[in-house]
Amino acid sequence: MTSDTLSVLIVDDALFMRSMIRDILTNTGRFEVVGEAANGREAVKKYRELKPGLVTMDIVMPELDGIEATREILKTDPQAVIVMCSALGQEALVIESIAAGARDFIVKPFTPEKVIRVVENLARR
Amino acid sequence: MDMQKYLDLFVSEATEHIQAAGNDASRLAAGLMPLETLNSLFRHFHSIKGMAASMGFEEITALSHSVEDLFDRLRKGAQPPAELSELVLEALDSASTMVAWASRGESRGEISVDARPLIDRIRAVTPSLTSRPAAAAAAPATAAPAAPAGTCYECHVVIDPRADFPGARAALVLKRLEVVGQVASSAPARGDLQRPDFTGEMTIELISDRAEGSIRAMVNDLLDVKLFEVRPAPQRPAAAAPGPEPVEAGPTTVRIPTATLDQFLDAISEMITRRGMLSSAITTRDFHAARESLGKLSESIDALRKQVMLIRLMPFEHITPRLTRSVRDLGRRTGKRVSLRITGAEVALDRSVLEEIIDPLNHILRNAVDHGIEIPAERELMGKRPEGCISIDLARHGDHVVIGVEDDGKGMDKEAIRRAALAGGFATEAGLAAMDEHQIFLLTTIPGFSTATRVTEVSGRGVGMDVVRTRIEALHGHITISSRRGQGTRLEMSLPLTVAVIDAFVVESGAGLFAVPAGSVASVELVESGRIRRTISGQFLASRAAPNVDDPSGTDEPVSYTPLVSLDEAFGAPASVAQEAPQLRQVLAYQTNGMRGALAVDRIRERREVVVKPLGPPLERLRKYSGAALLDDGSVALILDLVNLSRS
Repeated sequence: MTSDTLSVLIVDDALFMRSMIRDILTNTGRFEVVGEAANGREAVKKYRELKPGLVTMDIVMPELDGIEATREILKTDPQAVIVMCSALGQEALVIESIAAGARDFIVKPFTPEKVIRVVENLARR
Repeated sequence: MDMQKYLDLFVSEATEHIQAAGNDASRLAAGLMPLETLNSLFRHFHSIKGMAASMGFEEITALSHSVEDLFDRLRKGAQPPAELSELVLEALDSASTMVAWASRGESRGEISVDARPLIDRIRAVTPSLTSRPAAAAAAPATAAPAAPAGTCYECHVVIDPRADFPGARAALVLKRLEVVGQVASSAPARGDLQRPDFTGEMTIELISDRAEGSIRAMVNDLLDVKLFEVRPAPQRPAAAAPGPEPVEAGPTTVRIPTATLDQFLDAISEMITRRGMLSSAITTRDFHAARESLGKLSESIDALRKQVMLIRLMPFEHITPRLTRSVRDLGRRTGKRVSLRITGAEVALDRSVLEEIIDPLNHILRNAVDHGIEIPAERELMGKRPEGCISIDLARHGDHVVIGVEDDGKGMDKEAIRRAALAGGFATEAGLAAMDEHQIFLLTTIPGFSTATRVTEVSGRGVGMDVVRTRIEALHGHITISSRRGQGTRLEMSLPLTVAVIDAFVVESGAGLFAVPAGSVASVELVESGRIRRTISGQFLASRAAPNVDDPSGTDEPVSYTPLVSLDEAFGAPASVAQEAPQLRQVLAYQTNGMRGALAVDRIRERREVVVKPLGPPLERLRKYSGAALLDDGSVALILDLVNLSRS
């Protein structure tokens, strides 16, 4: 990880989504994907190991869902920057995630513009 | 995203507000400054500001914001500056110029050089408010655990309505603000942010010990927040509780092409000529000529009235984008797949009626998606297409417009409604037995029915249906519900095309003068009193069947009975007038909103157009009347509401 890139952990149970987000982020040259997790439990574990600067968190996942994972991560690191990845029709879940401490959210279907707009905005802060 | 569509809406709505504010401003210029006018000006500029911010028109936002602030102070009792009316008129001029630029796509971005000096002048004369102590501020707002130290701020947030999940965006704003203070209240409340009718605008009361600048800094990096303003909350008088602000009226201004005004003028000059002819005919006592001139004068008046009516009419399609959007959002939120089909959107309604039915329609749509349409898996199990369908159809029937909203969802459960009505004490066994299907479904529109019985889970309808019915009836409209379990529900609203003038029979009875809307009258006849049958449940008019050769027994037997209301009795005429039943009764048979009935009256005086005057409080609560008509001789005829009359 170089000093002018931000490290990212991608959490999503779908490989397709993970690779899409990975591509979008790495293509900018300003993010480095340091890890991926396919469920909430793995996400919490990897977060502790990697201490990434940003987490993209899917909501509906097996084992431990994204909202619970967000709570767990923030318990150990209240400064964690987590952005929720939500499908259409999940506004209530997103609102719950925000109450849990998520910093922002992106609504699928993803376009590079949508994703970059949100993560860069968070990276700036 | 089709910005052009939003732009058109912005231009037309902003123009309406500017015009309305212009009327208020002329009152200021005349030296009048009632609180009502100050409130109204505040609201107009507030609305313009909100819309302009959503569109990204910063210059219009900044200007209207400054005027809004000024009126906010004035309505709270600050001393008005000497040059108030000039400033407001200048601001309106400037705003309408900027809106005109915007409509041509020429305005974006920075505050234009033109507006800034004006904004500075307005800011310079705006009296400042001192912040009040927190304890006093927090007390009435909520039951906050302990009065936190700090100032009570009022924050106003506008989320870009085009953003994904505007409600979640608003939740982010609340979350951020909680870092620097305590949110005493928010409108809408946090729990309501996910509702599809969230407009993107939110007002928050925040108690914080930080300065305005650092509160603003908490949210200034959030995406899609179009506007965030924070200022010390207005000081409330200790004794007088703040009453609700008067409800904002619908669009009260209309833009009219000058060509149409020319047509008016033509019609009026024609009327003046004909009045002259009438007057000279009267002077010369030429009654034949007088009658002819009067006829022509009436024609001109009719024509003019129709022209004016046309201007008030607006096609339904004006509001279809809003309905489509709310169904889409509802589907998204509930995870259901729903499509909305609208037929007959070209049917036009009176502007005020159209404006008033948006809320009830949204309510009905929400019910249909929430409780009617099943989730895709369930639908497939039932052999339905996974995508639910809601259709709105409009049709004109005479002087009424019928709007139907139909879904292909799970329908309403008659038995469950019956049980709920009994359990909640809304009906008796006997009452229920006498009800037909429609009346049973209509039970769900009784205030308190749904909340008292949780009927929604079982019946698929009910939430706020009382509100829908009240709103429709306030427009002299009526509502009917039909439903098939497993197949769907249809709600039908019948609304008068206009509320101003109706064609009516003016009838006399022992109880007084009444007007019967002619659009509903099917026939007028003199009936032998023998055909009127009295039974325990009321009077009925027997009609003879057409002779039936195959069934000789039925040839001279009456086969159908129509409920009959005798106006004398229904409206409590003195017995002496009604006691001697005449051999022949004058009867008007009517059919309206799927109900048949007949009225027995003493005499039909005339058929004519009457101007409908609303009854006003408290008489407007008398449901048997839809208004009153003033007749030529100065007497008043009450206009009968036939649907409510047959229901009672």
